[in-house]
Amino acid sequence: MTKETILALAQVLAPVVQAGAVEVAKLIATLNADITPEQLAKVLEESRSSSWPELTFGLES
Amino acid sequence: MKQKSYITAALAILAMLGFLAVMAVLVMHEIPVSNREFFNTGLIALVGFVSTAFGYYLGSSFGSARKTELLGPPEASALASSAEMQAGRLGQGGFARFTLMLVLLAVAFFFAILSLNGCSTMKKEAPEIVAGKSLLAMKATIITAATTGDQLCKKGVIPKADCRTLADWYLKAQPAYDLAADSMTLVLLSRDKAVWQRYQADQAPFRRIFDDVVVMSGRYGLLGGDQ
Repeated sequence: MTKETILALAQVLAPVVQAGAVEVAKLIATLNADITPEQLAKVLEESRSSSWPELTFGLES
Repeated sequence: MKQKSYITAALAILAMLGFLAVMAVLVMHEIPVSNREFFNTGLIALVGFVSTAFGYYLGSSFGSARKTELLGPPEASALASSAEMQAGRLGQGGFARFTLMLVLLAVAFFFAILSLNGCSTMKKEAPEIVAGKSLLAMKATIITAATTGDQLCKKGVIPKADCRTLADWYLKAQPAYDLAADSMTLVLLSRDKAVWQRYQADQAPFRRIFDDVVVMSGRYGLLGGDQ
């Protein structure tokens, strides 16, 4: 593995790791929160796939 | 040897930082009884990492490695024909992708520490609440994995055929998650009598679950266009 490959990989993975860490932190906050069934139902409703990011996996064409 | 010693040092520092982070969390939070067994298992593994790192630097391994280094390089003629030598890979302890392994290990270690800390502070709750929260954790995992795959595909690290498979999985995961979330919502709301009576008046949640099943069946190829 060359230095250029490592740099390219780090550039790709850095924002992903950062976003992942934020998501995990949010998740831990939700896991620890005192939440009622109705509140959890609302969070689940908001987590439906319509709120998921649009990903193309490099297959735009 | 120089590069390998950096890698060893980085791993040792990571283990030590992780250990200190867990200790810091332990000072601030109490571990619930239900999570203690799991937490102890993780902590034992972490202590193992730290002990190995200390053993290397304070034991004989580092001194032995240094002595070998001082003895000079092995017979160059014996190794000159080796492809790894030509590619400059022997400095990576024999692993062709040692740096990549190190990056992946560091990322996994980071998330393991976060999860361990999360587990140590998790409360004991009703089963349906735990199930609902677990579903949210699953969603976070799917999106993180898919986003990583998306980035790697866009940079051309993953072959096109695998990217198509990833896109297919992501598309199929969505209605499956919606069905699970809507079913879970129904379970959660049915626990509260007053709320349940409101939902009995209108049939929307049931209709939505039916729609979820239809969408999922379509994406999994179980239904034709006119069915």
